[in-house]
Amino acid sequence: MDPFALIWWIVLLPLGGALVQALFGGAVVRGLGPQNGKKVMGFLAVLPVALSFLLGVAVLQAHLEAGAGTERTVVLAPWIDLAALKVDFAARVDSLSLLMVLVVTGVGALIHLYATGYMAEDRDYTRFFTYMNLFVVYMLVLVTADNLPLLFVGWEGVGLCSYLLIGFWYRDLANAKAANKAFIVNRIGDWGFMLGMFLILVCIAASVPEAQTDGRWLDFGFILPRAATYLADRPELATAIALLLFVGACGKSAQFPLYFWLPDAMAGPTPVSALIHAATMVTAGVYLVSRMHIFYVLSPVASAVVASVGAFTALFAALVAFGQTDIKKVLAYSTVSQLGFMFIACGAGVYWAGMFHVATHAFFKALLFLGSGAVIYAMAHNQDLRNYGNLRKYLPITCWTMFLGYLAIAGVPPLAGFYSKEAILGGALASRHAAASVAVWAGWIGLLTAALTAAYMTRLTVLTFFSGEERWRRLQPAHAHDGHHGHGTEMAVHPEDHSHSAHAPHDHEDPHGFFYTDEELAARAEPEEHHHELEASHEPKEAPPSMTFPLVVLALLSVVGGWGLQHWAGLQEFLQYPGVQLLPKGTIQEHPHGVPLMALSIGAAALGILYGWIVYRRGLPAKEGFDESAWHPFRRWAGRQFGYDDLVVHTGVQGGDLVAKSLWKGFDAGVIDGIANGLGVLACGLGRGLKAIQTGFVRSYALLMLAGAVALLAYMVAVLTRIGGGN
Amino acid sequence: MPDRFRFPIPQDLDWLALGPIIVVVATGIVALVLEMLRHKRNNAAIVGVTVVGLLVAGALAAVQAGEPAKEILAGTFLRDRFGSVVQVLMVAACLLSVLFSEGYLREKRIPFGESYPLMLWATAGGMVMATSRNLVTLFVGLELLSVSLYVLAGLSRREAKSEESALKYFLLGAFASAFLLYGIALFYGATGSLHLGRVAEVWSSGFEIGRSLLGVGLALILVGLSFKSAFVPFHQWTPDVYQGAPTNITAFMAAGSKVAAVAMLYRVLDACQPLIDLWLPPLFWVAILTMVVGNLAALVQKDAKRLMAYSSISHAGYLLVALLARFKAPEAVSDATLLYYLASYNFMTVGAFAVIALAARGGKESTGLSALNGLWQRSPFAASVLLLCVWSLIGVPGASGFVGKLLIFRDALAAGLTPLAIVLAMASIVSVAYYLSLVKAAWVADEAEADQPIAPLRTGAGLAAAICAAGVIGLFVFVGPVLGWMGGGSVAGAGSAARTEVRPG
Amino acid sequence: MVDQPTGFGVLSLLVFLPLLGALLTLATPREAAGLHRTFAIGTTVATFLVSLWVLAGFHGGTYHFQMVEFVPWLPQAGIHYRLGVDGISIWLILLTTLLTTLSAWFSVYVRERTKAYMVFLLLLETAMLGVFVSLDMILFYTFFEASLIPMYFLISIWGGEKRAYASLKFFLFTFAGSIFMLVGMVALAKLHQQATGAWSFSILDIQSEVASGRLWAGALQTQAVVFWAFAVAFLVKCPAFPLHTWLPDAHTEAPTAGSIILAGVLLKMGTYGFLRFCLPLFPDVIANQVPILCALAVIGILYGAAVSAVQPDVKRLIAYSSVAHMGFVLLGIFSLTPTGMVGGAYQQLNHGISTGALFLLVGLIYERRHTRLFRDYGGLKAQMPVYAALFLIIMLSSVGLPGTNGFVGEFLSLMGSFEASFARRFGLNPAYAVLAAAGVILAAVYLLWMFQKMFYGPLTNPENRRLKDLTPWEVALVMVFVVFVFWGGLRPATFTKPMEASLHAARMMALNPAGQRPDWRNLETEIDPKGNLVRVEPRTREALVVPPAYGEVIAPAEKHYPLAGREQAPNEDTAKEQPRA
Repeated sequence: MDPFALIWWIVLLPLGGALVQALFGGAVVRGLGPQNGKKVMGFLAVLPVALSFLLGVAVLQAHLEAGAGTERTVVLAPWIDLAALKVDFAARVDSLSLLMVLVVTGVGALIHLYATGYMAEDRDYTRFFTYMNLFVVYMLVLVTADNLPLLFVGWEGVGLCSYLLIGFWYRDLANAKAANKAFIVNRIGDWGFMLGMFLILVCIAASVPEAQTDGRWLDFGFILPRAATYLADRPELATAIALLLFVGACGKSAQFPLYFWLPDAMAGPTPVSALIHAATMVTAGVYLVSRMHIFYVLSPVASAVVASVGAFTALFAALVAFGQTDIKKVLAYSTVSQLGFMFIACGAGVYWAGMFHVATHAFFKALLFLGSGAVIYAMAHNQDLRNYGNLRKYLPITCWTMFLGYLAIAGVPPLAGFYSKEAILGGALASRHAAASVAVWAGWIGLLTAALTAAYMTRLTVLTFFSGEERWRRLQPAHAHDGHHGHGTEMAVHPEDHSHSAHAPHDHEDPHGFFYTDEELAARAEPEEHHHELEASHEPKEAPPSMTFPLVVLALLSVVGGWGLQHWAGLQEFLQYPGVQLLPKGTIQEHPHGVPLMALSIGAAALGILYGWIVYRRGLPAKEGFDESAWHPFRRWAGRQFGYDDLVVHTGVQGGDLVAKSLWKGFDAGVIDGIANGLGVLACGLGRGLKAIQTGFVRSYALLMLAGAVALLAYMVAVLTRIGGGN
Repeated sequence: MPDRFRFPIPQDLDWLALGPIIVVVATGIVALVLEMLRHKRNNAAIVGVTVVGLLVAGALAAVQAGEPAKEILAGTFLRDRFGSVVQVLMVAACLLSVLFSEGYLREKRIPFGESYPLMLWATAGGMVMATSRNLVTLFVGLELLSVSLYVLAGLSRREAKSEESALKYFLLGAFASAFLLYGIALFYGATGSLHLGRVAEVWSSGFEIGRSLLGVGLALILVGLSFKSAFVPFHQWTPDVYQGAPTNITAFMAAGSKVAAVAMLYRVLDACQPLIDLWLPPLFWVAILTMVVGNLAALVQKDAKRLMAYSSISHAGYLLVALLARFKAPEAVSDATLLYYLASYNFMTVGAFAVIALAARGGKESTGLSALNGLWQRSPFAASVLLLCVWSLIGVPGASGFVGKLLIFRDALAAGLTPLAIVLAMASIVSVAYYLSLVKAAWVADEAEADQPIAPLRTGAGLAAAICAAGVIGLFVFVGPVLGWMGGGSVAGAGSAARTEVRPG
Repeated sequence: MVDQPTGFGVLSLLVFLPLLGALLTLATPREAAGLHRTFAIGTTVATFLVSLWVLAGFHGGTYHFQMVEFVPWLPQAGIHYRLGVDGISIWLILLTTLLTTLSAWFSVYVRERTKAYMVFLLLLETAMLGVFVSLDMILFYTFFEASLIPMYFLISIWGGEKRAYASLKFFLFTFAGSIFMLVGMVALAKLHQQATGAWSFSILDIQSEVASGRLWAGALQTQAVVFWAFAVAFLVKCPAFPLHTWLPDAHTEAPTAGSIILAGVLLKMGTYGFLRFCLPLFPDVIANQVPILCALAVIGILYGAAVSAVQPDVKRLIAYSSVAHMGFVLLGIFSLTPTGMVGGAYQQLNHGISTGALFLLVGLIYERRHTRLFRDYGGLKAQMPVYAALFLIIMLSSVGLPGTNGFVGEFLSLMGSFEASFARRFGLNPAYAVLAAAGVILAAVYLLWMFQKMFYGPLTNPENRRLKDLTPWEVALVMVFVVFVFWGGLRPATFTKPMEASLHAARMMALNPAGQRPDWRNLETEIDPKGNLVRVEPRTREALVVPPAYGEVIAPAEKHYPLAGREQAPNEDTAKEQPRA
């Protein structure tokens, strides 16, 4: 069969997995008992993703044989089918989509594997993997879609899964709130995306002669080649499109105005943070910009905006990261910062470098998150850096794999991060793109950020694994929290407590069997999940192999990934569209690998590492302790994201609430119903008035009749005298 | 010629034409005799005779509807389609009221047999009002109707409010009749004839005196008739009388006497067609007043019968709109609309009263809305009929009331009386509120909330209710044939074909 | 031209079958609750089957009415019994029969006065079906108003605490809105009489005169007035922004089945009315009214969303969300673009499915706990996982998540309005579409908030601890909706294909100049698959089902509005599709 048809199997396999988890998961776990059942379902969860990865490799083979610059569309079925608009379930096979497919399935499979271990104790095991598989499906739809609406399906789908997974431990309301925040902020991005899509439609569709089209207005194969010709005379439209799409990208990829959902998203289980909020979903924005990059090429303004937003976000997030004590929060902000790097690349016109960083970042950031997960796992779900220290003694594998990831993100050659960051900074500083000056500035800021990155990552690593003292030893029980805490506080039903409380409403009969009887209730009551707080006597244990294996693999990738991709032709080929020659071949080949730049970036990395080592090697400095009042004001401020989050959320929530309430009480109930009811009252008032005339006395009735008669007569007489006898 | 003296009876006597009236009157006499003969208060025989007589009369009238129009008895009596149809309606109104009278009167402990002959004679009076263009005949008919009703209203002697209503009705009625009579006198003065047919000539002849007399006379006649058909501001007797009178009589008053009054008004205005510029503007405003006042006042009523009284006032307003349209654009509008509305009004009003009458029990009758509470439990059928009638009174489609309003809308627009159509529309919006309060009492509230249990539905009342329901629906479904029969097969646009073109003999 | 009486056919059967069932139910004793349910469910199922039969016989390739029935009724006034279906009504019929069946099915929970309840339910179904198949204005009005009575009782007898107020408000608002429509209808009939000499209330006749331009020739100045007489009635029914306040009360107080039907079908009568009357009959003024109607739609979208976000009562929240969703329908229809109109018409169905399902789900929990207030819930996910999952799916379709039915409708409506407004048609400007699109964000806000309030967080209320999850048949009930959620989301063509021809026709009736308008009476014109108005050889109504040989193009389909300033684009196709002055 046509190897490219496999692309749909890549998408459908995880879908099958999700359905299996959703429909049979509960039954299997109940049937085989928690232990074996979870093993089976875990296997069934990893399998489809792994298979998709293998299929992806196969498709890649075929693709490379056909030539890395080629592209192909595989149609599964029609979707929207109108005379005026046709949209298919069509997958696009080219280097860009395959790169993303491999990253998603590859890293995804590893993280699934990891999760089988990490979530082993969770009661909602299969629900978790339902969501995870579903996420992979949507992500694959996103990256393989051949038209904008289908891409939008994946776009919102991943948002949904992120919503579901952030709120996975729903018993804790904070998680639910974080989930809502993520979804809503993403929706703001989607709003821009949708408008961008419409704008593209009206700009191109309306202008294309009927004969030239079959109504598939939104296919990439239709838009991208024509965009240049149809927007050439309309730069303002190109800018508008580009910026609207970028709004979408900001939402998904957590860029500055809309970044603030990502840190809260860490409320989800750690594998989720690794898969969705580090490795794959958040890079969708970068993918979108690269996919639609022609609009940015056509619009220097938009490119400049992209670059500057990227640069600002990178710097901002890096600074905020210094104020974080939660290991996952630190990684979250570093993610935001790294995404900023990618957008610097896009803004500078070196899209391939952006995608390059997407890939490498996927490796080492996933590694870091999974590593942090292993640490959290070992530390009884305590996520506070300040309680760690000297863990290398207990968690050797985690420690050294994570150490490699740390070097990679710090940009130490020859690890992955070095190559990609190098490419970005080089591309930006040497930008020949229209928005050059901005891009160059962005490049310099990027360089600064690189140094900061190295610094705060050193802080994290040292405080966690090195710095002699084991700080949790001086811990008094009960503080520090984590999503799992939901299990603790969750309302497990204890047989004794409905004796008093729950009886009340159910004295009446229950004809439809809506309610549990006492016996059933007693049978239902589950024992509280054993869950102990971190305390002084705690002995950290290394994670099981199912968790450490992915760490090792990812560590490997973080080491060699950069070099590998750097020398893969496909990566640099994917920008060649038939008809549209964007950047002359070769320009993306060589970027100033010259000694000065390398020296600069290596120097920056070294500087950051050095600073970190000096400050933290002796353990937690006094003025970074649990007493935050002792903190340096800058750090305290950074810890609160410089007040941005509070500002936005408060104005948004309180303000919106106020407006809506006033509209409801004031306008709806007040004005409209006021008028309606007012009319009613008025009518009744008049009625009462008439009732008053209805005295019941004959004389008054007669009087009124007389009045009427007189009026009538008077009128007649008047008219008669007017018209007189004459005709 | 001596023959003349030997044959004092005019040549053009036509027994068939007079048949319906004669039958009704005769039945009344028979019923009265029976009333005297019957033993211990058993009215079965009387009711039987009455029903039979009415059926015969109705049949006689119905068969003549198709006959060509003709005037007999030296122009004192007119037999035409309009008249015959109205006669049928009068008979129907009486019949339906009679059907539920017996059970009601028993519950109310006033089973007096004389009520039946009186109702019959009243009917006869109403029939006369519809079938003459001679002012004296009309007046006699009117008085026959009124006097009988005065008595009937006071039938429930033990009840003060019944007596009071009779007295009020009598006093004010006399007052109104005086206007009417004076107006007739002026007409006679102007035309030198009691026949309305001469009005046109006199008016067109253009003598100032004649014209002035006609104008003033018309005004006075209108006052009299407005009283009978309860137009504002001559309406105030209605609620009091309707509330006080025994419910079966109220039903007859609401349906029958309104039909008769409107019919007589039709005769007069028909004759005064040439004066239309004179009387249209005031009646235009009277119509608006009536619709507005009737509906607004009804909004705040807590008593079922008073509520229905005001509703009858507002429907009088709608009828007036139909009349005005009829005469403003005679070539475009036929009698059918007016007659159709009268017919449907007949059914829905009597039907509603037949159900409301169930509130009377064991000599007591509370007519507050709450008296109907829980009707759905006691008698779902009665409740359904009430629902249907109210449905029709509001003018919700599916019942005859809607078609009636629709036709009035059509005529009003066709005659260029759009403002009236708008007011009519708004009026019906207001009417929803109070009509629904009736339905709510009967359908939503529980029996427990009623102050006294409702009387069981007897055969007679059940029959009456069933007929009314059937009528309301039937008129809607078979609107085509019905209109054809009433309008003489005339399609709208050629309505004038239905008009009577008979010269006075 | 005069029609030949056809006698009664399948459509009459469809409409009056429920009435028959109601009469049968009336004949049963008052105590036999089980019997009433059996009758009601049986009847509704039978009706659903009949509607499937109608669907099977329906052909999507034509804009003409099919299965037309004509029985003379009131020749004096040109009022006749005239039924028929076209692409606009066919799916609404299916929606009606489906939702009524499910409501009847759900109504086993009704305890008191089951007989009356079922009777009113069936009467309601007859009325609703009648609305969608009537081709005579008076017949339409008859069913349109007749639906008030049963609904009034459903609310006022089986409703919540404030049912008296809610039911009266419902009745008054809708009646007040529609009575002037009646006057408008009479005015139209009179104009027809002036134009041709004969009264007619048949929309076929009237539209035919409109298409030829004769009807309004003498009365252009009254056209706008008559248009608004109709529009107000439909705006109240929709309900659109300033006239919507009856909805929250009615929805909240109505029993579950009532809410489902109210949201699922009754609101559609308004939008259906726009498609059936306002577009085809008022071609000369429609363009000037578009900005007003679109503005109302946009305000409705934002306002409804904002207000629903602060409701303490789950049913009120969904009610206000209906205002927002119906805003999308209006927006799509009055974008007067092919995509937008399909989107609007399709969004009708989606709203029926998703909001109907939401009310059903709320009803399920209400039957258990007899409260609709958020503060009594929370943390239900732990207690009722299946319920939570189903609720989630439906909620997402209401949010308009791609892949569910809700998305396609909203997407196409927005796209249409964006096209129209960006091309500055009808005096629109992009702000309309941009703001409307923001409604998508707000939808997420209030619906997620609702979901969080009900299902997330700790299970604090001890009274909820005994709640059992849904029973299998309840799950089945909801699954019906779920199936349509995904079917509509992944295979919308199933539903949009049959609509398209009729919608193209409606659009051309509204926008094309006299002579180039489709004509419901003229069987020699047809809409071809590309959406052009073409001439075909004469044929009979029965022969409509076979696609004809398409002749020369009378009016080309204007699939997309050329961009402002792009009119001089140098290619003949767009040149042919220039907007008329």
